Amino acid sequence: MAVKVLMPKLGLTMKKGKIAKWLKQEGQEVTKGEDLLEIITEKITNVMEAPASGILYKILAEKGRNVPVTVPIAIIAEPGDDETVLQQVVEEAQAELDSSEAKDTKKKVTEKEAKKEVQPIRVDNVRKISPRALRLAQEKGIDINYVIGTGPNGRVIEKDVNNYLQELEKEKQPEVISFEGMRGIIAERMSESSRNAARVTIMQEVDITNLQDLREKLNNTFQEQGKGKVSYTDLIAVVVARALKEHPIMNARVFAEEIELCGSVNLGIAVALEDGLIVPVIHQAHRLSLVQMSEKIKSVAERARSGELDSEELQGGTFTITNLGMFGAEGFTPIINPPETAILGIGTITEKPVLKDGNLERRFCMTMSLSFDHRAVDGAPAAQFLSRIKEILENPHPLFQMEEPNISRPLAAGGGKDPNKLMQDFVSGIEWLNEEAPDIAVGFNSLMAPVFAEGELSTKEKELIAVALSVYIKCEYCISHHVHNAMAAGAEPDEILEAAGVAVAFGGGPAMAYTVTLVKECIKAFCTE
Amino acid sequence: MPEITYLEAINAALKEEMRRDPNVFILGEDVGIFGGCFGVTQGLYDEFGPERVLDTPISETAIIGASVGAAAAGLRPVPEIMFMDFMGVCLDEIFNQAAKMRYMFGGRAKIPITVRTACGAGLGAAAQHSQSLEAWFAHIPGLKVVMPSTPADAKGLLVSSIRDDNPVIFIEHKMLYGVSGTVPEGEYTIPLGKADIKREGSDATVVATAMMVHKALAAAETLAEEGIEIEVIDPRCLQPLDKDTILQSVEKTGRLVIVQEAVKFGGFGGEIAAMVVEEGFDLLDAPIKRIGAPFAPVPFATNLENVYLPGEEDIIEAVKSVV
Repeated sequence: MAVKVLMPKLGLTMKKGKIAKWLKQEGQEVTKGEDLLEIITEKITNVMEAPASGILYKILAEKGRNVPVTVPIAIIAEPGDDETVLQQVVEEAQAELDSSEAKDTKKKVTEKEAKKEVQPIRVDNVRKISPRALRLAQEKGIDINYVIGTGPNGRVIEKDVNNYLQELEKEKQPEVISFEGMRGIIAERMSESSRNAARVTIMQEVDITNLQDLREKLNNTFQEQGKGKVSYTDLIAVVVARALKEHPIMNARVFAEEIELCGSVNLGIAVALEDGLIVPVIHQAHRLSLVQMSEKIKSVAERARSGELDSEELQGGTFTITNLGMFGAEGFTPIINPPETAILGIGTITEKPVLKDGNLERRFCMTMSLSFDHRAVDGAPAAQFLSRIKEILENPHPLFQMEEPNISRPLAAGGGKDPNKLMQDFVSGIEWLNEEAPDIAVGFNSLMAPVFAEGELSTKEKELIAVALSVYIKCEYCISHHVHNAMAAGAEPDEILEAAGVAVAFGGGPAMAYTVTLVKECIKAFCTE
Repeated sequence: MPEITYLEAINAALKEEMRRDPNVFILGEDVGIFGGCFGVTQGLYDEFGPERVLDTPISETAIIGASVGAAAAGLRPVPEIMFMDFMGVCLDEIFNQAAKMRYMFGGRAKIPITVRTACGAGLGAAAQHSQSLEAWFAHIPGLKVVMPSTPADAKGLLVSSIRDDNPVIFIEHKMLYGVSGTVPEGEYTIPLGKADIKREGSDATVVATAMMVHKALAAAETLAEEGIEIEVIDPRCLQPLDKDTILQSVEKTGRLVIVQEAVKFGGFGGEIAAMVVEEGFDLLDAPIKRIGAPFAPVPFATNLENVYLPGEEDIIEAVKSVV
C-alpha cells in the first residue's frame, strides 16, 4: 500500500510548514525513521523522518512551498504497489494539497473582507435612477448625483433620496458632546499640559525582532505553566521602569517652582475607553517582575474599562506609556500627563527590510515617540534615555530570566582583605542589590530596620529574624518552630517568605532553596491549623 | 353570505337575469339538455324550455351570427362559445358585426350580446383548448371584455354584462369553475370598468387577472412571511380598464408587476405597462416586470404545461427583483 507523507503538526500553534529541503529524491529508497526532509516552522528548522519504508514515489510539495499541516506532501510506494493505483493516489493527494492551499488563500481573503468594510468610491455617474427618485430629487432641489443607490442593481430609488434628505437634515445639526465628566477632565489636563510644558517630541525606531522571539519563548513557557500571555506593553513597561531608575530626571514631576525627582517609578498606562481615556498608575513598577507587571496591567486595564479603579490607582504617576500601535499609528507626539516630565508613545510593529551589517534583512520595527518637558529635561538626556530603552529592547535576553527568580551568585561573596576596599564594596554592593534584587533588599531592610531602630523588637520581628537564621543554618526543626511562632505573632506569609529569601540569597543561593520549600509547606500547614 | 362556486355563481346570474327579463335567452353547443360542456347552464333548460335555452349546431359562426341578429332586433342573447380557442371561427361576427354596428348606425342600433366563453390552461386540454386570448378582443373598439376571478365577481359582472347595451366578451377561466367563494345574497351588480383590490400592501403592486389573481394571492402570503407586502389588483374588466386604481396603487408602492396567463408577447400586460409608463412614469421606483406564458402553444403533457404556466414562484421572484 502506498503511504501518504503528511505535513506534520510540530507544535500546538503550528498551522503551516515550509518545505526547506528534500533529503531524498524521487525514486530513491527510504527506510522508516530515516531523515526524509527539512521543514521550517515559524522560526525553527525541523527534520522529518520517513513514516514508512519503500520508494519515495512522488514529491508533491516541492522545496519552498508553504503547506498547511496534515496535508499530503509526498507518496512513498511499497514493494508490489500497482502503478495505476499509485497514479490514482498521487492524483488524489495532489488535489487535496492544491485545494488546501486554495482554501487557505480564500479564507485569508474573506477574513480581510470581513475586517474592513469600505464603501466603494464611485468612478463615474453612469448608473440607474428610478423616475420616482429623480422626480423627488428635483422637487426637493437636490443633485441626484450625491445620492448613493441601494435598489436592485444599484439603482437610486425613492428610499435613497429620502435617506439622503434625512442625512442632510442630520448633518445640519451638529452632534454635541459636552465637556462634562471625563471629557472635561481630559480637556482640562491636556490644555494645561500644552500651556505649561515646553514639549519636545523625539522619535526613534526600535528593531524588536529579538523582543518578538523572546516574547514567543516566554509565552510558550507561560502557556505550559498555565499562566497568561505577556503583551508587548508588559515587556516595554518592565524595560521602561528599569530605564527610568537609571535616568531619574525622566522619572520626575514638574511644578512651578521646582522639579521633584521621584524614587519610586509609578508608571501610568494609558487605557482607551469607549468614550475617553484613563491612565491607571502602577505604583512601584520598578519592583515588579514581568509576570507581576503583566497581571497588574491586565487587572488595571480591565478595571479601567469597567470603571472599577480605586482613586489611588489614578494618582501619583511619575511617567506614562501610551500605546497606539494596535491601531496602526507609527510615530506621534503624545501630550505629557502633568505634572510628569515625559510620556512614551508606542507605535505599531511593521515588518521591513533593514540594512544590518551591510546585509538586507527582514526585521520587525516599532517607532517610539518620547515627549518631554524641556523645562525639566534637555534634549540630550532625553535622547539618551530613549536610546537606553532602545538598547534594552533590542537586546532583551539577559534582562528576562526564564528560570524562577533567584540570585545567581552568592551576594555575600568575599571581596578581599583590605578593610577600606571592603567598606567601599559594601556601598556599591548595596546599590547593586537595590537595583538587581530589590525583593531581597526589601526583605533585608525589613529584618534589619527594627534591629537598629530605637525601642524594642516586637515578637513578630524577632520571630522573622529567627526564621531567616533557621533557614541559614538549614535546621528543619527550627524552621517549623519559628514559622509557626511568626504566624502566631501575626506575620503574613509574604513577610515570612521574604525573611527566608534573604537567608537564601545571602547564604548560598540555590543550594539552600529546598529550605524555602519547607518554609512554604510550614506556612500551608499552619495556616489550615 | 353563502359560499358557492364560480360555476354556481354564473349559473345563478343567468337564471336570475332570465327570470327578470324575458328578452334574455341563451344559446350554444350543448347548453340545453346536456347543461353545458362544463355544466354551467345546468337546470336552465328545465326551467326556461327550448325557446330560451337553444342547443345549436356545431357552428360558432351560426351562434354569434344569430345572436347579433337577435340583439339588433331587441333581444338580449347570451351565447356560449365552449372554448375561447374556437372564437376564431366566429371572429368576423364579433369584431366586424357586433362590435361596429352601434357605431356605424350612428347609435341607433344596440347590440346587447354577452358572449360567454372559457379560457385558460391547466386541464391538459392541449394547444387548441387552453388559450387565453383576451388581448384580441380588448383591441377592438366596440367590445367590452370582462375576466372575473371569483364567484362574487363572476355573478355581479355577468349581471352587469347582460344588462349592458354593448357586446361584452365574458371570459370565464375553466380552472376556476370549482373554486368557492362568498357571494352576496339577492340581486347585485358590479359595474364594468371597476378594478378590485384583492389584497392591500405597500411594497409592490401586482396586477393579475383570472387564475393569476389566485397565484398572486398565494405569492403574497409567502412574501408577507419575509416582510414584503404586495398589493394585488384584479382589473376584472380589461375594457374599459380602471386605470385610476392601478395608478393610485403604483403611486403608493412605486413598483409594478403584471401577471397574465396569456403569452407574454403582445399580451394585455403590455398595455397596462405602457399605460403606467405614459401616465405614471414618475411614480415608478423600479422597472415594471411582466409575467406571462412563453411564446409557444400550450403543451399537452402535464409536466410541460406546468412549466409553461406562470406560477407563484415566478411572481415571488419578480417582486423580489424590484423591491
